[in-house]
Amino acid sequence: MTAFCVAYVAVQIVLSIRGLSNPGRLRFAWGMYAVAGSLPTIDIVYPAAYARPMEPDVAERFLVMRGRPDVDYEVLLPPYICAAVPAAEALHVERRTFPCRR
Amino acid sequence: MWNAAPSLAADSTADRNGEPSRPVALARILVGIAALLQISAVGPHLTKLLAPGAFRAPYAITPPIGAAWTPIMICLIVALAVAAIVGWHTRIALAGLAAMIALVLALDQQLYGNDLYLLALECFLLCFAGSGAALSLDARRRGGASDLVERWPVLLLKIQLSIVYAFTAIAKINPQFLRGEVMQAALRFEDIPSQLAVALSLVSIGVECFLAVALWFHVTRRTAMLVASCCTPRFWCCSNGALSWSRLSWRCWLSTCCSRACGQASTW
Repeated sequence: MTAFCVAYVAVQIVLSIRGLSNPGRLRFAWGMYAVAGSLPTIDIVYPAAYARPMEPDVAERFLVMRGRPDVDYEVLLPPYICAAVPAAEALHVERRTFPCRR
Repeated sequence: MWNAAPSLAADSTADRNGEPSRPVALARILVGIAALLQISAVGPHLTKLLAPGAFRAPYAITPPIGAAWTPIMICLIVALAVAAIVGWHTRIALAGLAAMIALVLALDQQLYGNDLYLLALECFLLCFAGSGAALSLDARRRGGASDLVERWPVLLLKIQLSIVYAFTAIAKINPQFLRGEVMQAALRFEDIPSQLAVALSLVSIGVECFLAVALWFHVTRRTAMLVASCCTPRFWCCSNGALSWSRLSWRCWLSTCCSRACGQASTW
């Protein structure tokens, strides 16, 4: 039992120390509310013939929950938005362009 | 229904073979109440996330659970939490509660929350502690409460809570938090002076440092409880203040229960 207790505490401490390298962004490390969650800036690019104004806060529109600091939205959101907006030709994600392949 | 004994008796019954059962039973009840509070907050998110067409952020291995299972999962968690509170088949209820919370956490990256994770760990440890030995239907069915429960899970629970407070305080020592940006993002009042946000951030770090240590010692425990219950900036200033208060406060109450249970060990 002593071995289990030592292992339990060691795992908790190691994960927490690992989490300090990137506060609030690593799961299973303790750092509640240490950083604010932020969403990437995403703009939808439509074909020239498809007149549509630029939409602000695109990332926020597609989320059902508040942005979390430990979720990689820059990787996970673009494929979803491309599928959800059939007219989208590409996405500007921060400074990168993500083509929507059909 | 339950025979409440003076809590001071708890310290005197601690010995090398176990810990007094009543404070640990009280901790079990608090964890059950916390589970009900948490599921009331997470339930709506769970329903929306599992609805068809919602944005999902799955893990490499995510349980294939659809929207139809949401009400069943929520009802099961509520039932297990109630069973844990009243102490009906306590070990099974706590083990089931830990497993269900782990399942919720595994469903989507967006559902992860340290509060839920901590709750699962607490259920897991209380399950081993034999927390149904007192203040429970199990004890009533056996014809009386047991005086002692396992010591090691109670000690682990205390250490766990200190680790949570200590590392959360350290993690908050980062430029974004120290500039008050995190506090401002969470404030329910708009346009507060940045100096006030910075001050509240520093207070928040101080409170958590204090709680990491103070709950271990008899002389500081009462002050720690008072600080945690009344003076946390999040309680007064955040949009979800009531939930923040309940989270911080029940953790402190839990730690206090464990400290009482640990008796002499709490004066390390």
